[in-house]
Amino acid sequence: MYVQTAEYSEKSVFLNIPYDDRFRRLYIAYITGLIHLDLKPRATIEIPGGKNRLDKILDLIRSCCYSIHDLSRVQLDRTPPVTPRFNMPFELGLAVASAKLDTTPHDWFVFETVQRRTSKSLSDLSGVDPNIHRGTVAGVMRELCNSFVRQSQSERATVAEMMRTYRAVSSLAMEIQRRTRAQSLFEASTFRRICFVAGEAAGVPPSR
Amino acid sequence: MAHSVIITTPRLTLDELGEQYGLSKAEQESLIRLVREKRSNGQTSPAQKSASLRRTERRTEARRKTN
Repeated sequence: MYVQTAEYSEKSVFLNIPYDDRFRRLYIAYITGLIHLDLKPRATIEIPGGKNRLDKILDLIRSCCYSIHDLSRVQLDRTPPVTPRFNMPFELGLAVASAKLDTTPHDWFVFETVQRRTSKSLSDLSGVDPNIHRGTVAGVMRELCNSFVRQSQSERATVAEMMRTYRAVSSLAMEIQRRTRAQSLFEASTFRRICFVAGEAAGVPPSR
Repeated sequence: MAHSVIITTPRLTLDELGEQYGLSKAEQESLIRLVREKRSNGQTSPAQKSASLRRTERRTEARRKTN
């Protein structure tokens, strides 16, 4: 029997995006944008490999109040054997089920590069309007601001502020990778440090 | 139009982020230093500062002569 172990957080956002070099800019954009909105990105790259990976992914999704599912990567992955990547729509399905069945609230968002493409690629989402970022960093920031709104006007981050932080974090990404001796930016060690660096660059206060 | 949610949770803190991502205090300090060094390096360079100073001095001198 499956038992949830991760602690639920109203600030956590499960980030379901492609983790590869072609998506590097938007990966940093999502992290930076969410931190600017006082939310904590969580990702499957934090989960170590091994047994019960599916349980751990489900656990992580259920521990998050929100999830973002970027369905931009619909192309075939050319690494043999040539196939599309099904992980993102699969994890979206898990999040939808969590939102329907769990007692803790879960709100999910679909992000895409191309307008109306999900009506073909995932027609089960009929009636759901995706956030279209057009594959740009500023587009991701804009759509994050549209999705997550702070009540107080004075507490709302602007896209310009987020872009400044993005540039700062982006310029430090390779240094963080070097320090952690990671093979890529898409490893748990670099992901966690990029999140923290984004906090400092965004002006998050040290403590309350 | 895509839906949106209102965020009412308290603001984040670096302590909270460090704890969430399992970073030691030493590691947090080191990352904070990295950002601050980058920030200070990204500010106006001494060469730019002196060029700006020279421009200001030239303008002041020109105004003084005009008066």
